[in-house]
Amino acid sequence: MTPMSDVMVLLLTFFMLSANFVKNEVVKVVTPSSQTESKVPKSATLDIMIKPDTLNKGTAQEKIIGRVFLATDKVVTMENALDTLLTKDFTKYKKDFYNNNVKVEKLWTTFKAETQIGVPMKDLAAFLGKTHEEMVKDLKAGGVPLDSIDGGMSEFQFWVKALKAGYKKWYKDVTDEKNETLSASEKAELPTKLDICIKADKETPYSTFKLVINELQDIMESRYKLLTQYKKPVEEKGE
Amino acid sequence: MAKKKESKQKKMNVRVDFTPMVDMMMLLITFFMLCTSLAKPQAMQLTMPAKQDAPKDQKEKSKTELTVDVYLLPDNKIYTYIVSKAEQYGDPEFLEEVTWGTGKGSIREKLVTYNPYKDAVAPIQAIMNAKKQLDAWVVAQPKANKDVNDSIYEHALSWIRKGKLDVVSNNSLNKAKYDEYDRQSKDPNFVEDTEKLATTINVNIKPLDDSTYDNLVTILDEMAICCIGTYRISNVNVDDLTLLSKKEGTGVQAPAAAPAAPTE
Repeated sequence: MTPMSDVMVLLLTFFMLSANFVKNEVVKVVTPSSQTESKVPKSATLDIMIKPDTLNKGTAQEKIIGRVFLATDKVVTMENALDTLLTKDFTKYKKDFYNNNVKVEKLWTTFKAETQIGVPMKDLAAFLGKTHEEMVKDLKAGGVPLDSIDGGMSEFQFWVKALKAGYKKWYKDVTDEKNETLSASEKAELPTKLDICIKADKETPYSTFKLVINELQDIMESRYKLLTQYKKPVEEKGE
Repeated sequence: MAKKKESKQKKMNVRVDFTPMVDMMMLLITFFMLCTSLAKPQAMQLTMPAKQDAPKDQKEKSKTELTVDVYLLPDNKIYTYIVSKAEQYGDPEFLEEVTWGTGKGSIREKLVTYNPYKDAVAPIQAIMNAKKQLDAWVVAQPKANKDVNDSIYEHALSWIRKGKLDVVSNNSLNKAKYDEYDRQSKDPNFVEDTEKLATTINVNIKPLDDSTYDNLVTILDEMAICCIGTYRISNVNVDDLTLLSKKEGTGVQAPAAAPAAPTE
């Protein structure tokens, strides 16, 4: 028995050290592979997930579209972002989230617990009141709308801007000299802004990717990280 | 009798039962195996031009024979379009289907062997050779000053991509040249003498709307492997569609709009 428990301990140690927890994401994507060897930043990423979906399957109008989801590893950022959006750009939905200027606790807690943003603003309050199963169903058929509102910015652009601003606000708060929740070295290690990571599924049509990039360019975001899986280089012949 | 009893006591079994521990271990291992992902994703940096400064003038600067157009089509099809004279644009004869990967007739082979001026070494091959020398140099460096070396490596690689191949020589870094280029890059008044640089190839990547993101990432990866200094993801316009529709086997329908109207 001893050799077996020895092996067990080794395996356990290995898994614990290399632990890299899978995020609880409702929408999962399979990223393409590349030979790039640079790692993804550990924190402060703004993930843009694109998941293809086939509409009207089996009919003449069959069409592949991409659904866009947003996520970030900083919960505070998401809260700040929603707050900004409700008070500035989407004031007509503010009454759903605030009761006489007091946050409706239940909705905000659910919002913070959700890892992905993926329903239109008008459905968000109703979505957060649903059961988990219904939420999963809604997310899979949802996505942040990419079409512009009255010729202006799209909901997607509003979200990206708000998330970036939300992180900046949090960063300013947390790196403030009076704030002592983090040590000086931890403060120095924090990235100053969110990195945009595009995590698109292999099968995403280029048209959706183009649309997302165009919208990002419109709001002056031109540097992205495309998330891929590492693939070993194939040795060339005759060398 | 008493003696016998004493010996029996000494021989008492002192083995500890490990089973509960192993059970727990098993559970923990199962938990960690199910909840972790071992493959860490990789990030590929992509920088697109800001909307305001569309590189119109840059487009005209690159010579026709030094530009390779790559079309990404649905069903993982890929075509290259290489013309040597500007007036040959629009002729489907130069459109050629290539394969993914590295073998004969692949996009890699096409790019690496493309030699418009019939030089002794094809331009991309020359750049890749220079990169190999730089790789050899960085491997040979002591591990201690990794950060400094990595920054030197990044700089040197960006210069190699621009055609400054003499930054490496004899499988090592040419320190004198490196310092010279370093000075030049910090000098705002420095004007590059393009005649002195090695030939570099520009690649225009033109994915059609129905092509997949997978293909785009693969071709971007190919750009990194082949050390292409300047590549651009451009949108397909009516002229491109007309060109593709003229070639058999592409499955591209001729655009409905008149090709005379220039779109951008």
